[in-house]
Amino acid sequence: MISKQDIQKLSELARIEVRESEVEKLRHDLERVLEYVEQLGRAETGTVEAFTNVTGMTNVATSDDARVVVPADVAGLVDAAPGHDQSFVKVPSVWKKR
Amino acid sequence: MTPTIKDAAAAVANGDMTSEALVRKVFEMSHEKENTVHAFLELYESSALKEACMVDEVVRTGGGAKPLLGIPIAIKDNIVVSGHLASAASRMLETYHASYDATVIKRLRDAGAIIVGRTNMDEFAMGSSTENSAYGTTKNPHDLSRIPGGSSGGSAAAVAAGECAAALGSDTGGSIRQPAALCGVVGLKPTYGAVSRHGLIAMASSLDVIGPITKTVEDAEVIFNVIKGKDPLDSTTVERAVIPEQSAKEIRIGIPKEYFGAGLHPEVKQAVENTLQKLQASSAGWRIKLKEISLPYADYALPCYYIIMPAEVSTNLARFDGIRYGLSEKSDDLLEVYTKSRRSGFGEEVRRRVLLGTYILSAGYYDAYYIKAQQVRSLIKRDFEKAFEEVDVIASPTTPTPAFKFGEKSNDPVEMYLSDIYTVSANLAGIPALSVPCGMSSEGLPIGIQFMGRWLEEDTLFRVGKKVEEFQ
Repeated sequence: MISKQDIQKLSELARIEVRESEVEKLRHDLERVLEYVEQLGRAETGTVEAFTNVTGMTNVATSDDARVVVPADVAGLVDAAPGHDQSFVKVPSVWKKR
Repeated sequence: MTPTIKDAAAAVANGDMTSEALVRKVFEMSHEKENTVHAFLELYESSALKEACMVDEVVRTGGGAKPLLGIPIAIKDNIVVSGHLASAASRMLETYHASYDATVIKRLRDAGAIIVGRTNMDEFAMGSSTENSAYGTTKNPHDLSRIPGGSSGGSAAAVAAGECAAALGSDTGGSIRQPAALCGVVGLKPTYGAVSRHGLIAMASSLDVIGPITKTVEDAEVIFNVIKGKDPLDSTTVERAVIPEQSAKEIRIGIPKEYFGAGLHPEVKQAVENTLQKLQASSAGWRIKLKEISLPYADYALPCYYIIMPAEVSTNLARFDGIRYGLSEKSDDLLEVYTKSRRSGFGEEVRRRVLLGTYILSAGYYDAYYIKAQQVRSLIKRDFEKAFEEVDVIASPTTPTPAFKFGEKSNDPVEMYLSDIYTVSANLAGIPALSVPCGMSSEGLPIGIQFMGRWLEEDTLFRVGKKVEEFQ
């Protein structure tokens, strides 16, 4: 059901490196879980609406006001990034240099 | 006998007991037990003692009573506490220091609680045995060769071993109730949205909820009342408009036949049935009436959960990319920073679930798996709505078996997933559920009974749970 190529494709989509030695076990495990959840196909669902939320909530829009952000809070969040410079998060270049 | 939280907080407030003494006592216990149990990833000894002394000082200068005044509480490692590490038991967040307090932490502190440390768990709350922690396994205090349950295994073991007065856990598919049952303590999974998730490291956002693990039902009630309520920082939070009348002369308990079938350990079945019989026979104050009911979609709950949960996991965990927080593998190539950081930061089960969720959400499978599962979820919720027209509470075992041995279920993911078979429905439907100890197996392992209630009717569960405690 799940092929080696599927695992490679999922690895690309999920942005997780999968090593050659891990492919077979992963393939087996995913297949095992998918086989288990297959039984859902037997449930009579007809035209039942898909679940959206528990408490009957509706969307809440907040007003478009500028909020005062405490600089210390910003610093706390930026500091959590492995690469940062002052109040900026550092990222390797997205486009390759020619 | 250890005092209840209510009594201890009152004793601290009127000066009969100091918070410092309470906190010192739990750390003494930790020093004795941690070598074997390993419930904690970190103890906050110096900050906790300092905070406890401050509480005592406030009492001496005339400070008033608070519901958790001076009470030592442990926190699952996926709930952020400002200035402390919050790793979700993952290598990915090994060095991540939280820069703010979760809403539940703020509320605990406002109520006078002392945070004593962060507890072990399955990585990112994915697991049922705490074996998936990147920092070693926690042992069940009742039998060190067995798992404490999971994913909040450290919190349940810490409470059971006397290393804190109470602990917070999180429950996505049973992660509070299952370890509470296996460690012989009380665990509450509140109604979805009753407690703010702000500051909880998300696993599956439509299922996650924070709740207490405690020694008694009353303790769980006290903590729930402190942490619950609407929070502007979590727009899914709800407030109950009217407090339900707690004077009903009769509570009807439904027994769903689907929860007592194949796969249920005979001793667990026996203990749960005995407890229900005793409840029916007790006549003090108000009566309990048992009724057999049916939840026709119950058998679909676990497969439904194993579609919705990994789908949400794969999207929620996309934020761990080696850029925003935690572990980052160096590379000049941005894509490689992502793929290598996620490979080395995430453990095996987490990678498996992210890949599974990615598969489920990919074009061509989305309708067959995800939409189908959401339809079944509607039907599971409808099952409960119908059942709650004729009963007030639904009772079942919390787990199919008592605590199993280390490694017993590690080779087959589905075997492990089956330990949540009785708990996932409450998460899918968003209803509250309480696990209460109800007996011991012949091997001396704790057994738990689960009570599920109507949306936002935790109070009814506490009432029934307290009655069960009278028999123990």
